[in-house]
Amino acid sequence: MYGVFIGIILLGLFVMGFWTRLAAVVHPKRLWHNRSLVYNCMIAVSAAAVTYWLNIHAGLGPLIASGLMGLIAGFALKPDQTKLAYAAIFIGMSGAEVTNWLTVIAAGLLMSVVYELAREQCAGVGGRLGTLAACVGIMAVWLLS
Amino acid sequence: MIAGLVTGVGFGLAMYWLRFGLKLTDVQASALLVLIAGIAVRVFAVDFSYGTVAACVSYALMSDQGILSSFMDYVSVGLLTGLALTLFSKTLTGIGGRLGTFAFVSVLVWLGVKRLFRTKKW
Repeated sequence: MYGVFIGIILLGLFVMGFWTRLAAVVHPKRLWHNRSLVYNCMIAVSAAAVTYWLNIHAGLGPLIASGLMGLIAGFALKPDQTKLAYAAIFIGMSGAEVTNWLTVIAAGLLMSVVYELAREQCAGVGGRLGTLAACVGIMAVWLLS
Repeated sequence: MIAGLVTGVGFGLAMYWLRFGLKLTDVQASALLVLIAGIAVRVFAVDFSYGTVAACVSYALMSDQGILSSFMDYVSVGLLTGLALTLFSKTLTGIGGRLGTFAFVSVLVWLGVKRLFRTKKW
């Protein structure tokens, strides 16, 4: 009963926060307009795949793998590409018991499309990229299962 | 649970320093914090949950400065994220992006709190 009460309060606060006018800066240029979709797919798939390899096969674990790849993306790519790469890196943090190479690559491809479609939704709210990654990852696992 | 909350606040402060002290971008600050936490967990054989709290807090505090900017914002979101991760530690296990999802919910809950009290001091 106590947990349900706290849950309802948290849900109410979540909804209120969601409808708050968010003073975020959205990048004015769409990725599809100045970069080809193929190029964005390559960034997303390679970021997800390399992170997954570092995480599972190289045995670094999800934290070191994502931190390492995030730093490389953060310093090597342009700001708009960095966000896309970091979103894809979250996919590579998946556990081997849930995902495999095929789902990671499929999720990377999906991410490059979903990221562009959802770029103005809740822009600037922390955790948005991770939420997109979780949605895309679940979609990929569901589609390929 | 208390340890998770304290860890959340501590990493919130670290993230504040990385972003406003060292002037790193959101992705650079988050990635650096996650990398340091990951190495610390390995080297000092600390419980992995502390590393996940660090990652989760860093994702939450990637928010734009128009949304979260004050010291109080960072401490509060760090606390909320630590709480969310402690309460829902078994949810979405193995799915990439689960920590980001908790972070997203925590930020929106904090924005809801701010809206509820409508104070400009924070």
